[in-house]
Amino acid sequence: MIMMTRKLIFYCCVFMMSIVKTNAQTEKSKLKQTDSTLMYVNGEGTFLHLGKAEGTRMNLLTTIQSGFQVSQFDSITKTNSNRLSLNMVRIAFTATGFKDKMSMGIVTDFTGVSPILEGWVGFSVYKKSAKVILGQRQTNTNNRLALADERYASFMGQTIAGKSNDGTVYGGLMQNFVGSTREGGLFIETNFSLKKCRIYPSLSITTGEGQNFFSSQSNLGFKYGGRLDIMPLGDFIKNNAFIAQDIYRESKPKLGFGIAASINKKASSIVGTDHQTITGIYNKEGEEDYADYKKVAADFIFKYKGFAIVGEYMSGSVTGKELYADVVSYNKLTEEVASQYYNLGTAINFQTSYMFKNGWAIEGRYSSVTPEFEMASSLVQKQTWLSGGINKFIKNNAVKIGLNFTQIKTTSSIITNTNTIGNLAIQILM
Amino acid sequence: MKSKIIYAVSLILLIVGCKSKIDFVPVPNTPYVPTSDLLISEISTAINTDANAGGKRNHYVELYNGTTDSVDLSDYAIGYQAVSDSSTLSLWDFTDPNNCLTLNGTLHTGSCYVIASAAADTSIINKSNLEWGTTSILSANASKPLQLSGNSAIALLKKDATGTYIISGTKYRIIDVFGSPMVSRVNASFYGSATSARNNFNWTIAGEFDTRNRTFKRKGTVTTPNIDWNSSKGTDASSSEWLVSADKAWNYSNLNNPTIPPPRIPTLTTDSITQITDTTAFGGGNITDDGGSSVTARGICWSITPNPDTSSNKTTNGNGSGAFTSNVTGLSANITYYVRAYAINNVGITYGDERQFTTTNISNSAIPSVSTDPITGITSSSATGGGNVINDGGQTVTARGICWSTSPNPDITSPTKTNDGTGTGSFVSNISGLTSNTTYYVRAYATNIIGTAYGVQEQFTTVIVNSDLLISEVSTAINTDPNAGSKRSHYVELFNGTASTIDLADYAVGYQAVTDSGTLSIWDFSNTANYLPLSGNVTSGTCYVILSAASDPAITHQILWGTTSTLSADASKPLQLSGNSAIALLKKDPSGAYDLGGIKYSIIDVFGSPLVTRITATFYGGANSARNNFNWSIAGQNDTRNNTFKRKSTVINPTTDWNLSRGTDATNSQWLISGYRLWDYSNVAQPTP
Repeated sequence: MIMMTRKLIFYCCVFMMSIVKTNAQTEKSKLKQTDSTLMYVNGEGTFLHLGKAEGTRMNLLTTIQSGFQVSQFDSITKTNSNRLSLNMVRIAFTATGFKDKMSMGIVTDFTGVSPILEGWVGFSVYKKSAKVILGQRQTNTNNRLALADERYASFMGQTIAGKSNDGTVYGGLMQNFVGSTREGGLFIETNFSLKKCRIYPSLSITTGEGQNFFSSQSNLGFKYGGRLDIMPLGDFIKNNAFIAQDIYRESKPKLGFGIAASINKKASSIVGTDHQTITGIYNKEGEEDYADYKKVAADFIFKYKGFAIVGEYMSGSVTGKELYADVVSYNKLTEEVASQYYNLGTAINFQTSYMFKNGWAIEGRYSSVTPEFEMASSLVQKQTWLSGGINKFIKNNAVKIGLNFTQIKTTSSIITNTNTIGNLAIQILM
Repeated sequence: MKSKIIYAVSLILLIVGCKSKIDFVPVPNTPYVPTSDLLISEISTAINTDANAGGKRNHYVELYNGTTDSVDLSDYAIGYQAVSDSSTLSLWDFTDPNNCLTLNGTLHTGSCYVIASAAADTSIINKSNLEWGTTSILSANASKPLQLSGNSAIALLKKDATGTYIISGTKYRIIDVFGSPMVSRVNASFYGSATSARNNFNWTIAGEFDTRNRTFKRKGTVTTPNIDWNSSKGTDASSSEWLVSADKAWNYSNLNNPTIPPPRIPTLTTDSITQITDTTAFGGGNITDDGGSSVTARGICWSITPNPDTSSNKTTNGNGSGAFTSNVTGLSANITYYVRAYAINNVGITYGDERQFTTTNISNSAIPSVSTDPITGITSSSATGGGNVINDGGQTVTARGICWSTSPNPDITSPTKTNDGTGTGSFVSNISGLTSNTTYYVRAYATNIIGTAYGVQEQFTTVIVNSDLLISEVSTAINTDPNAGSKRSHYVELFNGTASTIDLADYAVGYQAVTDSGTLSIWDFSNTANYLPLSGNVTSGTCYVILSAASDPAITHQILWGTTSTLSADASKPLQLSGNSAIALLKKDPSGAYDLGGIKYSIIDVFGSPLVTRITATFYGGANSARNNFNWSIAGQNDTRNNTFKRKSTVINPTTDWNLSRGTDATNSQWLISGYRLWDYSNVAQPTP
């Protein structure tokens, strides 16, 4: 904790220095290349460039999001609640050096128990045509909107250590089949062009035990997966392909398709993003065991001059052999029984938005969740998510003020309930 | 192209990766097996000093009768033996009668019998059949029946004259145990505060070290009692015969009920496939055992390859056990399909035996082609026919033969038909049960699933059948005629036109000459020389010829009769037939009017008659003959000498009415006349054509 405090003080000093040096510049101004430069870009933080040409470059970005939430849970009885919270408190530091051959990243988040959200080291190989990354970061085996940091989420709400407990931030698809988006492992990514088409394949081997899992594994397998992104009309601006709203207002139509798949061998949590939260599964010898959790995602995105539409599909399923729900191999862990241990089913998510030139943006989102087995005891229940929101962007993404609501209707064979959530939040990136 | 790749990859991912699947190695069904004898099925080892036990010693021993018959409990006893340390091994000892309990009553099959500690809670007592042992819960009494704190062994004993244990003067042997003084214990940690010297020792069961404060249920798969406690307790949950509750997780809910065996996959059979068409069929199955778990889905599945499963085509026909039927649809013509019934319960899916069938090809088929053979071998009651199935029309010919009727165009609805096999090719049919002299119409037929085809119609008439033997040919040649060669070629031919062989011993031929035209007399066979009793047989359709002994012997005959003389003086003796001699065919008849050698006969047929007047015929050739000038006009012809007479083939009944027989012209006469001196012996011994 002392180390973290020191780091925080250091980054704050650097940040203050950058403010002093760049306070006279406009957001579109560019620094003249000298031996070393320090630059601040609204919404993207402070950039420090040491040396000429491909020297060492660093970026420091802090995020604070505060919010107010009101909610009503309507089941047998109605329960109203409200909350004032720090939705997000982060500091992110990234750097590249050695002629862009090496890179690193640290993202801290102070909302959870552990401040570590991301930490990774990257190496460029094969004449920089591919990159190998080792560490914890957002895994590449999820749906499109799970690949961007929460600070770009258009529906603002509370996240704790990168996870949205009520699902406001990402909606029903991710709430049921993604959970946390960070994971430790080995990532390999590359990209190339076929005429105008840009193609981004990536593969990964991760722990399959969720973020901040640094222990040794026994009787647990890795998670193997990959993702393929195809952009037939060329690259989007910056990370615009993976965020819901067209905050950069693409000047030309941009289209992206993506598919991702993974198999998490011996997954010990409900969607394979946590560690040993499941108990009570055994093999035929009476030893504790787990099923393999599979995820498949397919998505698309289209953006043009502020208009954006995103469609996502995801399924979660398990495979296994000779698994039982007791030590004496009496009760089989059939697929139906497995649905009481794992989130099994499918979900779709559609959201569309329009960003006006003046920084106002409106957005609607619809998610539908379908359990693989419609049983009262299944972890996944039939859900319909409806969300609407309005955001005001100031200085690109530097300041964002947003108001949104989400209604979640859950229908099981026993009861139907509705959870309505309203969020007001303000976010500052510096 | 890129879009196609994207779609293809997406589709593959979606198809391959979106369904959960947990595989299990199929376990062969273990059908219910009755137990071989009474056995210990449940025991509790709750410790009364445990705070959660509420001071109660909820101990009991449950016995289960899993045999197929009721059990007389008076053959059984319970033995109790406590141990006090971990290592001292001793033999079972039931010399203290306080440690033994003899049982009484009857325990029905499938039922349990609970012996509860007298110190148990009323909730246990109420479920028990018998209380036993001390009511004290003092530690000093903790080694008395029925205290089962983990260190007390229970034996189930059965009367046996060879047994080594004597209880109340009767020999018993141990048949089942829970615990054993001959098996070492472990020193378990005492639950709670103070330790107890006695309660610290118990047997490890199913790998559980501390087996105090538990309930033990005998697995439902155990079917025989076991005196080997080491194998009964096992070394882990899998090898043990006992299901062990968690520590202090006493569960009395199943008390006085047998341990339910683990559910199994269902057992079922597949019905034969029927009502097969080009595109549909009818099947089903019968779930004979649901495996102890309700059948949630059932039906049949089919494919064009063996071992179809529910991933192929299937029906869904409700749930539960028992028989069900299934309509198979969407089939293709002329394809062989494999079918299995299936049933699903919570344990898994199972399939019945495999059956196969081939769909019909009716849409591309026709009725067969068949021809009718000519009818041969026609008798009065039978004939031979047949046909040839030239083409089966694309479907198996399931029936073929001929059908006949007295009306044209007979068909298979007629009862008169044959069934001569199946398939294509020629066949021969025997037609029987016909009526004589009747015209029949015949058609061959062949039937396949499409319908019945008929060949071209044939017709025939059955042979006429006479009612009895009759006179069929007679000769009246005159020997004095120069053309006769001095021969008296006289004969009488008899014809068996019946359907059976005739025994001639029942018949005789009588002879009576007349000497003028007007004198009428009755038949007179008083002279034995004027009749001839016959012998031998004459088969159906053949003739019997009685030839004059004075005749040309070259004439075919069976017997010679009468004088060999050709003298005129002998012209009125048998078998001289110059036109004025009458012949009678007689048949034995007890009420007959004619006595021939002491046997009564009746006349059944005649040629000539003394009762019918003659006429005077012109004598041919030289001088008239007083005798030969008189003869009967026959068929309108006056001079009937020197002729051969053939009975018309249409005559089927003999007659004694000579006037009717001879007729008045050629049409109404029963006789064909050869013509004067046109003797024709060519047809002698053969029926009249």
